[in-house]
Amino acid sequence: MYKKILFFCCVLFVAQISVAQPLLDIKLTSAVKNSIPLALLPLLPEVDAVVRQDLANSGQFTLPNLSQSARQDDDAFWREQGVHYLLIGERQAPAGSLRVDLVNLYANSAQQRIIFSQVFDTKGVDPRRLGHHISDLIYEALVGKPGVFSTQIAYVVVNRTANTEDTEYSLEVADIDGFNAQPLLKSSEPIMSPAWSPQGDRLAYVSFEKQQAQIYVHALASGRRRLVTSFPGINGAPAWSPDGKQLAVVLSKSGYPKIYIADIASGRVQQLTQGYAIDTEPTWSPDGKKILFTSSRGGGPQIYQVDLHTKQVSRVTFSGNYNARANFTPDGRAIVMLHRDRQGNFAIAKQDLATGRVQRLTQAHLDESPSVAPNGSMVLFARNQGQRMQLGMVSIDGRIQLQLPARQGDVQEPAWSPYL
Amino acid sequence: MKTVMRFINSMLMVAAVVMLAACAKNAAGPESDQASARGYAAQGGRGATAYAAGTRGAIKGRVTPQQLQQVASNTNSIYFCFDNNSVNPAALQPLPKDCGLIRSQVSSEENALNLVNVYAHYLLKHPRARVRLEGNTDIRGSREYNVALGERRSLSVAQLLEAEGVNPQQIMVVSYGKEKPSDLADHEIAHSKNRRVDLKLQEG
Repeated sequence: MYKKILFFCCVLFVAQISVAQPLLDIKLTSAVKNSIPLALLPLLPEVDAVVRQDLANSGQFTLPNLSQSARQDDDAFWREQGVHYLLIGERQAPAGSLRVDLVNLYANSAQQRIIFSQVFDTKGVDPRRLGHHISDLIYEALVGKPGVFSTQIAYVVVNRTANTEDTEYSLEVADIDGFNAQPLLKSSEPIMSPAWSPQGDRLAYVSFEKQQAQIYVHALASGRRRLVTSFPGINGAPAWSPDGKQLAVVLSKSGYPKIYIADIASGRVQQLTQGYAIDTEPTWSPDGKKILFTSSRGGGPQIYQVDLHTKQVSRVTFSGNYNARANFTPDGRAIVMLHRDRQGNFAIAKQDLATGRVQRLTQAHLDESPSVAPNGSMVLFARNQGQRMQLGMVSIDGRIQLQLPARQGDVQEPAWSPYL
Repeated sequence: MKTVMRFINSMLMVAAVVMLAACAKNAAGPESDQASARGYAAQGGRGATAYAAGTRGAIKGRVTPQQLQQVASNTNSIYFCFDNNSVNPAALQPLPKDCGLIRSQVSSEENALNLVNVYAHYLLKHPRARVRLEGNTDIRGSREYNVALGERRSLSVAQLLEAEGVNPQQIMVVSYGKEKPSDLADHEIAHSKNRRVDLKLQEG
């Protein structure tokens, strides 16, 4: 008897649902040696905690514990503590104003001493949001590229039960530190491959809620969904064009999984790749001129690219016999992918496109689903460890590693948002 | 005489499928498409050239009412060997890695072709019933790539059903890749349980 599967689409989008205990924690497991010593003088307690955690977890800052008696103008004291920079917060009139100064203790002149000084109105502002914003400013000033502390991640939580029929899948969006998690879709059938629109306002994903694969685009603010493709067979791996008007998708309606370009507004699809091999996991180049994809046309899975103008296909990866799910770095100079080594371990790896050099970034056995931060500094991925899927992050040079342990269930298919 | 013909027919069928099936013996790793891409291409797309080699009707055997009842009321699984989409030597029990060894070991009762045959009988008898073929892979490798691999397994079962004269409209092919593993552990026994197509009958 046809068993009707119960599913419900639950859209919660009340602004700022504060969750005391986020599903995801964040834990730094490996940091850089020459991290930047920075002392935080009290801003506002809640803001303080957020900035402190953001910077510590970036792996690029050392934050000494400060004594209550320490004075902000006592440069000699701070230098003795090994501190190079001070972040000073001061309440100001009118009430609710907070001035934040970033100070260089080794400046040559008084002008150079203040790196930035900004006044924020804290009234009615979520302290976590303000904290992430201040962290972004500090990161940009001292590291030299925009911070990603105000970005978000999308991921799929799977809660399994003894009876596999009762497994629950939930697509969620959370702040990059795991707070403010909000479910977008709950289903008794798998949800796969969430992808952020370039504007950060929509998510495309694959849902099996109708007992077959379908691709939806889900508007975050309204919760409204649009069904984009629902062909017989595979409807998979949606990837946004840089202008946010098209999706590269995988359809197997011809009998073979091939890359198609789908127009979101009309739903019209156009086949891009040909042949009998598996073609899947498309991703657009930042300039919109090429699409990378995984293909079995040479035997095992390797990364290929197709020029959207000439339709010419060329092979990109040659190292190892399994390379899949590639992403470009934001500068378009490298790709990050899933790479299998000779021992059969699946690692996240980076390939420089100019030199072809492949650098392995992670060292575990079963990593997957890499997603690159919008500033190119970190890669988010999923790791199968002890029969559970968990999220992790690694810096693009492999030196900084973070774990995002989940309180319950499997957390998989992470996707890093653009700047929001 | 009829029985002899039947026997010869089934032998021809087995030989044909064995010839089509290419079995890779890769080093430790996930299931790749290396061998199966060729096997699939040789068989053609769904309903295309798959049963041109005189296999139509070849696997019809005696089907008991009990067997029909069994497929009507249960989800049955066909297990595949590593890195392979071929229904021969797929079996009704999880299969270890090495397909070369397996081919001679799968007993006739355990042979997946028999199960496919029962489904074919059922679907021919019940033209309004449909079967869902859900393809699955083991837990290693990239998710969307595994969805593609799982679909090839479902299609190989679909081709056999169609070769038995089942209307393609009665067959639904779905692939979950590694999204619905039956065993989450990371060892070969678990992987072998996940390399499967689940067959689910739905009344019309």
